[in-house]
Amino acid sequence: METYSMVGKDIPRVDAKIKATGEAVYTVDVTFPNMLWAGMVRSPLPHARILNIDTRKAERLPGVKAVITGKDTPFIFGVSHMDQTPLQAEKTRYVGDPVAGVAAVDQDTLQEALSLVQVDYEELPAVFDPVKAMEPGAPLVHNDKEGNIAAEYHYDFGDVEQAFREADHVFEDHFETQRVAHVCPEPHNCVAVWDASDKLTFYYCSQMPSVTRVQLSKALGIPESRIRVITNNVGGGFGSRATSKFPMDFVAIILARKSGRPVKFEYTRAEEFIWSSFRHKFIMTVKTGIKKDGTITGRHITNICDNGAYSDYGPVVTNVGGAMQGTLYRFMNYRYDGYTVYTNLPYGGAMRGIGNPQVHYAGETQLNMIAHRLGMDPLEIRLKNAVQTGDETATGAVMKSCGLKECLQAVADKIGWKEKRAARKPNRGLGIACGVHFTGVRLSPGIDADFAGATLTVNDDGSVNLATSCVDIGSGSTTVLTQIAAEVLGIEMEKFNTIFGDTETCPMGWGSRASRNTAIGGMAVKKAAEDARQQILTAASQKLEVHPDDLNIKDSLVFVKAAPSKNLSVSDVVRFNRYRKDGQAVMAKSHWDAPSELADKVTGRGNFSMAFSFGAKAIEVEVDQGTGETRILEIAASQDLGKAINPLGAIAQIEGGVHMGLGFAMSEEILLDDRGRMKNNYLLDYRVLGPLDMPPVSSILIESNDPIGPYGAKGVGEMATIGTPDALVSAVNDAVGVWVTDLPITPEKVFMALKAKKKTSSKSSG
Amino acid sequence: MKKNIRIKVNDEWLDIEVEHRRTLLQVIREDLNLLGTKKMCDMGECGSCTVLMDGRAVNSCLILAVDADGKSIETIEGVAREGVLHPIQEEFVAKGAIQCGFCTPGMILTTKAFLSSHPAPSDQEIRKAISGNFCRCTGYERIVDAIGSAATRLQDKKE
Amino acid sequence: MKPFELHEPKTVKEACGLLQKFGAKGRALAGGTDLLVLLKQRRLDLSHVVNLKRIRGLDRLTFNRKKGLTVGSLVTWTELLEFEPVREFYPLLYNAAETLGSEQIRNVATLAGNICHASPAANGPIPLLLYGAQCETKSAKGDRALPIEKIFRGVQKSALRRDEILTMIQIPLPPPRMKDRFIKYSMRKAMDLGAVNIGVLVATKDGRFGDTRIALGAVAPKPFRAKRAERVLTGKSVSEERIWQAAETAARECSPITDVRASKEYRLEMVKQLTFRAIKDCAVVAL
Repeated sequence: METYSMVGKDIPRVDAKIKATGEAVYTVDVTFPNMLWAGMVRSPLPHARILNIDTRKAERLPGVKAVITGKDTPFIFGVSHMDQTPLQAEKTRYVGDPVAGVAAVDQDTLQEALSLVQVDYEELPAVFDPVKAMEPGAPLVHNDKEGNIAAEYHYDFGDVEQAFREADHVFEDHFETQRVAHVCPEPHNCVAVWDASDKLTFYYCSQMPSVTRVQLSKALGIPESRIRVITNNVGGGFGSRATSKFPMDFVAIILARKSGRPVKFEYTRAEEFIWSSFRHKFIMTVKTGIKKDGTITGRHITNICDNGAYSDYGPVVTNVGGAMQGTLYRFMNYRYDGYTVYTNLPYGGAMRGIGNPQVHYAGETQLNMIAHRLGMDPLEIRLKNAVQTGDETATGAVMKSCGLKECLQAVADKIGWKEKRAARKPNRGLGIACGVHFTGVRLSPGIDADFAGATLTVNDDGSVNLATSCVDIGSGSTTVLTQIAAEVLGIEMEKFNTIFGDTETCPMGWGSRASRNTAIGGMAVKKAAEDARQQILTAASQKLEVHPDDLNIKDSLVFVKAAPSKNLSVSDVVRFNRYRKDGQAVMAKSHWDAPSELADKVTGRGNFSMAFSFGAKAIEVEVDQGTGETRILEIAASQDLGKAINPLGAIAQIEGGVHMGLGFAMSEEILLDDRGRMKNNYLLDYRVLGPLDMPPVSSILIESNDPIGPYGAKGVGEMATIGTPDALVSAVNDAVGVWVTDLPITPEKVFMALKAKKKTSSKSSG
Repeated sequence: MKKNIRIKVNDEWLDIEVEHRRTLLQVIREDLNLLGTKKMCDMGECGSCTVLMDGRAVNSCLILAVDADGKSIETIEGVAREGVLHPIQEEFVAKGAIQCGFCTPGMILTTKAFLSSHPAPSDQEIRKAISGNFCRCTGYERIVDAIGSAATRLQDKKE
Repeated sequence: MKPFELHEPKTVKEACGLLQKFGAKGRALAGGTDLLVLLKQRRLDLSHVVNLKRIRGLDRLTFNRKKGLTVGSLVTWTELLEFEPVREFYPLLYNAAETLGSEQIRNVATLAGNICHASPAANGPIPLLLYGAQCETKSAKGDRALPIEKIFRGVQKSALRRDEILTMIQIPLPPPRMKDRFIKYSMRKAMDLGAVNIGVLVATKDGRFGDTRIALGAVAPKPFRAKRAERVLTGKSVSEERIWQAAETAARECSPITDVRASKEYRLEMVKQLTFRAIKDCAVVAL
């Protein structure tokens, strides 16, 4: 068993001190003298043709420096499907769809100017239900499309019909999940600055600055070399900033161009809730064939994803949800039909798990229902079907490391699964669920790349400049990456300056999404550090007159393994290397593409991720039948993350994921009125659980030591969000005998289900 | 309409002229350029703008600056002393209680006021005390842990 | 917020005069946790704000056994929590205070402001209704003494005239040996509004209910005493059936709405369930 000096240690985050003192700079803190404030005029109608926009009054208001409309922003953008322009010129497609942008010297002037823009609309019939939107004759959200299906995904592996014939039981159940918001602490905001050489510097809370640059360049028709994206610390992302795709970004940029001044655009909390994207609503049907002994023979899942008015991440989200359900259990007969459907509602986007939590919820809840119906143990049924190391799944995913069974067993043991099920207490119940998520992913057809970059320089004084393509949105990536580099180089963490976020100084990469920072970002860093290490050892070997293999580095000291008193400091080596004839710097670079594959065009199968992370959740509840309140006595959350580079950091991520998952399960919901306006876009009534609401959470790390990732590591952040509602719904049924599956399962829903159950049982017994 | 006020910010008395409608948060961030105090909801529902006013935690977004006249205000910038972190800050760092960091300044100030009146709090009391400070990243576990540790350290310091 | 002129009168008389002058364009400011939010959301269009916080004497908080608790209109929730007689003699008021908002809000918000804002889901009305509080007001037209139930006229509508200021709340000492229960039934344990608020103050002797008081909030346009439910119990023998009957009666006295927090049906069910539990808890010794 290898022992490491940095890896596997609970090293405090390298950015924690500046965050503890309030010195950490976020995009909201970026201001310029002469800066203008921007805002947008938004459509009050769910679907309307724009007949006329008159901006003259707004333009004439003193203090207004630029006004733009759709004709000023003819840029098409999107994530995988380009179907959006920043400001609409012809028609608006949801309440909030922007039609004009204004830049003014202060907020008062801005608000007044926005109210002075006159827009005449002709209201059009609107569609709010994705199922209805799929029907012929439904109002067309995008006139240039043939219907409202933005994208569809069909997987058909093995023979699902045969699987159902072979099964002893076939069950079909229906599930819907609700929209939930990211609620990032830092609201969406940006600052656009053009300089005299016609270069744009765009300060943005991006999760992937280099991709932001590419997207802006493409959409605006400007070369990338004339765009610099700068991301400082980010106050939460959770997927909402996974690319530059919001109207506000373009609007700020064009207003800055037009006015010749820096322009800042900052969302209010009310805007942030509904117009910075959210987790899509899914309408799912799960059909499962199962044998008497609990072996799943096959599964067919249909999913209708309510996209909202623009596709954004909708197609990716629909695709991911489907792919992952064919990657958790060993059945090889799997069919998925997913539809991303336009409606005249605000649009969703990527949110931690990107479609996986929702489809997992449906699949896992149904499996718990099946176990209940067949009188089987939900833990045993999972252990029976769980994928294992070496498996190749229905979707073509290859399990090079898999701790799924260990995850299940760990939470079952922690919660006392066997003992408590044997000794039942009234109104108490247990639920269990498991899940899988990828580490980076190749699921966008045509994009055969999934990479991160790193550059590393060792300075004369032995300190290290490390630049990464990974953005630390709060997940702790900067610390983990520094730990990896420090481990390889034998140089202390304190000597590292690790930077991210500036496209001018940092390498390109897909940034922070798809749980890829530790593994993909980590491998790029590791390769660069190994390269730098070799340069140090080679130079040192010349000075010390030994073979490089005879040397090691620890605590910035390069020493001969067999005779440690023969040594040089790293600083001495670097200087020696540099200040001589034909001298060299110690500098390294790495671009690391994850060894995953795009799905085969014919079969649809492929090993679409370099590694898969697993997890399980077990929950014990006590239900108050008089009110419907569910008290969670304990949650056990396990996660196979390959190797915990920073165990404290990993546990912190799991706890945060459980918090988010519990909110999804019990209390959070975006409530829309019949026009698509959010009714509860404020924290009092959008219920994120508080510290008094959180139950005891036990986090268990399982290390299956992946052969590819750095030191065996795989992704963490998104798997943590999967499985909590799945286990909770089952626990409630276990406690009081009702399946309340309509998330969030509020006390009212549980109470009403119990009331209905009493009615039917008294009817049947009466 | 403006008024001249005198407020003590982190031990320094300042004379400033403020518009009647300006909140303390606006003055702190925009006039005094102390950016550690954050605006997250601007409605008193999140606690990210928490500062101490005469030792009490308040949402600075709901305090008119004119109402701070004559009062002593402590922002996050005043917690560390001459570059030395306060034990609360040290425990937040050591216990992994900081992720994105946006809620951290408000959380630390709330903690500082709380521990000065509750030196040996229970887990439940800690959770109640920080109920007005919204966090989306941590799930609060590490924060509660850090506050408990800080309480112990501050007690030890006294003895 | 839109610009406004802030006035800082030194006396109540001066404040009333200003409010009378400004009419609909002016409002009194105490803690500000309700008013500033309304101004930021532009739900109120004011040109003048009359700050009460420079008026001496309005922050008076005293207790004596004869008069009971005297709460000036600038007294904050934190001050109530830290005043020993509140914890000792007015446990319902203590509960209402500790379940309100957050530490940050309690340090600044006032009991009087909570009453004047007249939200049906407010915490403050429940203990005041049960303790039979009296509100003293002043205006240019004279002084009034209103029993607490007369203060509420509807959703966010109080009985105060435009130029009238609530200056003091007088809360008599409750009779000895009464048991109490305060239930703010909300989805989150803090930073929330009750979907249903219930307070009970119950006296029992020799297996019979004596003085029995029930107050309900968030289930009607105004918080109120469920007098018919009280009459089901007062003077009657203690039994679970009777308590349930009273709970059902209390539900019939409600007129809740369906909103983002709960449906009408669920609110009625919870009035029944929680009123039953609250009274039962208080009467448990007698059973």
